[in-house]
Amino acid sequence: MTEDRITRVVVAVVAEAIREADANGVVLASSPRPETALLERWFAAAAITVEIPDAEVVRAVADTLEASLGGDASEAVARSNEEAHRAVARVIANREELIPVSAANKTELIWAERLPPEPLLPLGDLYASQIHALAGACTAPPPLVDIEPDRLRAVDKAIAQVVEDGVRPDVAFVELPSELRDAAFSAMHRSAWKGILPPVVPKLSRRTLGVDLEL
Amino acid sequence: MTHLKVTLVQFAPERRNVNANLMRMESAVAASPGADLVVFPELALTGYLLGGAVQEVALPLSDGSPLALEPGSPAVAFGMVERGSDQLVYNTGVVARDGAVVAAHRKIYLPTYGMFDEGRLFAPGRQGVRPFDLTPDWKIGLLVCEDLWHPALAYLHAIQEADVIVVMAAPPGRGLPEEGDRNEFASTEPWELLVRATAFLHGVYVLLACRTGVEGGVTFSGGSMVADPTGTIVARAPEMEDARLEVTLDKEAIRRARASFSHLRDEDPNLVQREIQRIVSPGSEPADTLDGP
Repeated sequence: MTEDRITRVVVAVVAEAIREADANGVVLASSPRPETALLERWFAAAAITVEIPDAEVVRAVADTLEASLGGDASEAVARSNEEAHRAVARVIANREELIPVSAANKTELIWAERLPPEPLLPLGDLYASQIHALAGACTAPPPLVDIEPDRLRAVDKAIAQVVEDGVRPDVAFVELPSELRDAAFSAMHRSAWKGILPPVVPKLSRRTLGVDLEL
Repeated sequence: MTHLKVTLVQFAPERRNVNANLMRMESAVAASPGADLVVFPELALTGYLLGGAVQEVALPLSDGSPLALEPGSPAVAFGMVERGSDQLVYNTGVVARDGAVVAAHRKIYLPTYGMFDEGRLFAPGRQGVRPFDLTPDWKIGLLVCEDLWHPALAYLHAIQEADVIVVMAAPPGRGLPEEGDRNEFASTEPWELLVRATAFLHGVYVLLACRTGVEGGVTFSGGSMVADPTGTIVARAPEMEDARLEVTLDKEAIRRARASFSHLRDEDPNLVQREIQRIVSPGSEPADTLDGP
C-alpha cells in the first residue's frame, strides 16, 4: 500500500466534489483524531481549503447540549463531542460554502449502527488497519476500540474477505476469537441495509431519492 | 498503405457538457495532422455517470458527425450517447470522417452489476459485430469497454478479417495494488491481460483508449495501451493522467504474427456454428455430428 497512490485518488475525488458543488473547500465534521490529521495533511499538500471547527466553540455547544438535555443524552454528548463538532461544522459549511467531510474509515462504517450524514467520506473505503499503517494510529469502532493493531488487522482482513472477495462470513470469521466472531457477524448483519444507497427513503412515488431517482 | 498512423487521446470528459468535450476533441484532432485515425474513449462526448441525463445528451447519428473538423482531418473514433431511430439510447462507439459517420458499434454487453448500472440507462446493441474498411488496406473492428470481456465479439471481428480491434473504454480504477506493482490500480492488470491475449490469439492490433478523471467517487484509471499482433504492449499511457499515444501500425507485423502462429488460419467458424446451434437449439443438430465418442 503506497500512500501517494491512495492520496491521489482521495484528493482527486474531493477536488471534483468541490468543483461540482461550486464550493470553496471542505470543513472537517469529525472531531480531531488520526484520520482528521491525515486528511489535513493530504488536503494541505493539494492546496484544498480545509476548515476545522474551533475547539472552544465546540465545547460551548457541547456544554449547552449537556445543560439542556441532561441524563443519558448529556453523557453521550460529553463522551465524544462528536455531535457538537458536527453541528458547528455544518454552520461553518453553510456560512463559507464548504462541504462537510466525515473522517470515518471503512471499519467504522461497517461496524456502526448508522452512517454519518456528511455527503463526503474521503476515507470511507480504507479499513482502520490501513489507516493505522498510514498514520501510525486509527479510530476503531466499539467493540474494537482497545484492540491490538495485529488483532485489528486480522478482524479487518476477515471482514474484507466477506466484503471484497465474496467469502461466506462463516468461513471468513472462523479464525477470529469467539467474542469478536459474534460481534463481526452482528456488524455484517447490521450493515446489510447499507448496501442500499443511503439514506433510506420509504418509496412512495414513481422515482425516489436513494432508490431509483438519478439526478 | 501498409502503415496506419494512430493517435489515442486519453482525457477526462466533462460530465454532461457535450459542447466543451467537442471543443477539446476537435483541438486534439487538429493537433494530430499526420494521423490516419484518432481514438477517444467511451462516452468521450458526455462523460460516464449520466443517470437520467442520458436522455438530454443523446444525439442521432442521422445528423452526421457532431465533430466539426477541417476537410482532410483524420478519421476519429469516439464514444457517445446515440439516440437511435427507435428513440432508444445506446452507448455507441462511432467513427467519423469528413463530417460523416462511417461506422458505429452499439455496446452489446452493458455491465449492470456491482458499481455498474448501464443496463438501466442504455439499450443493448443488437446490430451485430461488423468490422469496416477504414482504408482499402485496413479493416477495423469496434468494441466498447465491457464488450472486450466477452471474447466471442473479438473472435467475430477476427474471422471477418479485422486487422485492428479498437476498444473505447472507461475503466474505473479499483483495488489498491500491492507494494512494487507497476500499476496504480489492481484493476488495470486484467485489462492488460485481455488486450494482450486478444491481440495474440487473433494476430491483430488491439487499441485500448481509456479515459481519466473523477465522477462522483469513481476515479477512471486511464492506462490506455496498444498491443501488437504478437500480444506485446508497444505503447502505454500513464494512469490517472491525460496523455496521447502515437503509434504506427504495420501490416507486415500482422503478416509475421500470422506466419509464426496459425491460430487465425486454423479457425473453423463452421465448427463453432454447429456447436453453438447444438447448444442453443438442442435436437436441431445434423445427424452426422452425433457420431463419435
